[in-house]
Amino acid sequence: MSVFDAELHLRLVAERALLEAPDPRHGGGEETVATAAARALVAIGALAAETAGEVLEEYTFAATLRGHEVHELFHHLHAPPRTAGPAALEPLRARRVAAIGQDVAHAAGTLRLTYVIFGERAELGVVGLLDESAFNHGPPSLRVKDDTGTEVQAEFAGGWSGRQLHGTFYPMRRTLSPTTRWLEVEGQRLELRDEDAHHEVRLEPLRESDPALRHLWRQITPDEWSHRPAPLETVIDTLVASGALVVDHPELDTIRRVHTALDGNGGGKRGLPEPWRSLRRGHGHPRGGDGPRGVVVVGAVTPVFDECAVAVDVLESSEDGWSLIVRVTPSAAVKSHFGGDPLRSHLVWWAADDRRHTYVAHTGNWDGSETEGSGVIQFEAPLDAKASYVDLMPTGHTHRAVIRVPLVWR
Amino acid sequence: MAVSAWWEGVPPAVTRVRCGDAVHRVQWRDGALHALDHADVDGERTLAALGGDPCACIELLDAWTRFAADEHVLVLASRGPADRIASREWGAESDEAHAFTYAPRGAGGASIVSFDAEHLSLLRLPGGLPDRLVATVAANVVERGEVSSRAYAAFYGRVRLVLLDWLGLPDAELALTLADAPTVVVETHVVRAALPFSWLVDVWARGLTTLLGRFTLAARVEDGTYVLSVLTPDLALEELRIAMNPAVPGSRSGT
Repeated sequence: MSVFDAELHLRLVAERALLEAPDPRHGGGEETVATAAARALVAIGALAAETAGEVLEEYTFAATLRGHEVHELFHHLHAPPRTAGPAALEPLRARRVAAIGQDVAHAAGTLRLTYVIFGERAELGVVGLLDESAFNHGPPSLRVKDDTGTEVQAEFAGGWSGRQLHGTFYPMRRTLSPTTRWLEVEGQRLELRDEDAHHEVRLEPLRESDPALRHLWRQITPDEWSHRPAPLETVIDTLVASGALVVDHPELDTIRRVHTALDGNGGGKRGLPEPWRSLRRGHGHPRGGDGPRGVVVVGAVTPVFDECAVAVDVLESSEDGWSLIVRVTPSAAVKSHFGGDPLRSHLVWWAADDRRHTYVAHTGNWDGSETEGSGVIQFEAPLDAKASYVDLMPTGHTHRAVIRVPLVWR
Repeated sequence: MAVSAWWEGVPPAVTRVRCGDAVHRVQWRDGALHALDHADVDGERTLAALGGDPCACIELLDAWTRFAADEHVLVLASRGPADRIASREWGAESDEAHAFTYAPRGAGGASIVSFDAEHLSLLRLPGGLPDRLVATVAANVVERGEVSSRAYAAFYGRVRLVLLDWLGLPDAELALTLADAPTVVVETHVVRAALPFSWLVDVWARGLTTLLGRFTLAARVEDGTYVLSVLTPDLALEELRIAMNPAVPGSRSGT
């Protein structure tokens, strides 16, 4: 029996892809299939991440020389170095998060301040409708004062569409007192409502499963797609070639059916296993979705699990979807489009409500350093407005954290 | 029978280099690069090291020497005419060089591989020089007698590009093994080929992969003639003898 050479297998996948016309379904050929094969080999322990990274880098460079677009592989070049080992990890500290839920009159329109998080900088969550003229010179800034008399100018970070603005205001030079009882924004006093946020947080072991099958299930979750269907057959071929999976494994049929159903290329959700059957997905309702509007202060932290730790500060919901403001250590545990490490096993952000819906998210805006990252985890499907709680379930490769969040809207 | 040098039968190649205010010729011939318009290369190299103006021709020679045994070249360079890399003169500014100034990092932030502007410039040289660099690196692999995964995969790519195209089976799977005795067998959806790694030097580098509708399994130089072992379109074995161009090293007048 010949011995499987994982590096050679990856090189041959990359070699074939380099010379073939990019598959438009995958948005750019060799990057996607080579990265997928590399991830699979690393996930089952057949190839060291450093060796896989080296192969990807060589073929990225080769693709660039040929004028190919470079997507995921290129990101690997910017991946933060893997310095934070398990021994260095500690749970994140909870930050003070206060609900605001008040409107502020700004010269350019009305802003609704939804929450404030006191971290290294105070972050003021905001939605609002502004006059178009407000955007002529970029988004507006805010004058913010605390109860110690400190006054700062806060600048906007986030997005806007038309007149609608959604994001966060950050003080750029000085920070606000983390113990302030109120804030004065554009001259208007806002009382801060600290909530007794004792959310139940627990860790649950995942069902023991074969590493190859576990990798395949993770591969087809929407977060892993990066807006493109996962090259599932490449991954299956790789796992079969490595000997980690038999070609006629009975679970492969189920994995393919789920993949096809989620890909939108056929097959409904009926008959799929859970959590896939109950998965709510965003549909881009022309009349808007039916999710509740509001903010829930969470302020929960998890213990360390699967070489990472998570803090969830805020849950925000709108008609069309919902999101979490989170921090994760190390940042590399989160898949992000810029600066992420595609060869590392990432958290998958599952959630389930008491109406038997399941949700899965992708990473939105993300700002990561070597040790800690923070940003937005975005669920594209709206929350069920009748749900009374939601379990947030950042899921690693052996455990998941479960954070129960009562949906009491502010 | 005398053993011929690996470069015999590989045609010379020349590129032009902007060197100071002049345009100079740099030629690959007999397995090495030569700055044709510099009489005293060593002297000029010493002068540049002592603070004199750097000389582009000699910089190119030095870069070539640095990469002549670098197997990354096999991965990065063109697999053949169907795998085109746009050429650019030596030393021209490159956008990609800027893109790759972010040093790749592995465990602990250590650099795994570093590609730089020299890699780019060498692999983009006009005049067929990148193929000669591939041949040089491949000849080093043959001499060492050990084919790494990196070299094998790049060899596979070059064989695949030519062989499947020649067979008219671009979507077939190629199962390629390294063997001294070359063979090609076509099965349903799979082409099984056995070739020595030296095919890259003996056949590919000499531009003899397909000739007169035949696929070349092996080639050697014998008395100013290419002696080719070829497959005909109906997969029969044939021997072809073709007189070499007199300008090519190994030909009767070129040696």
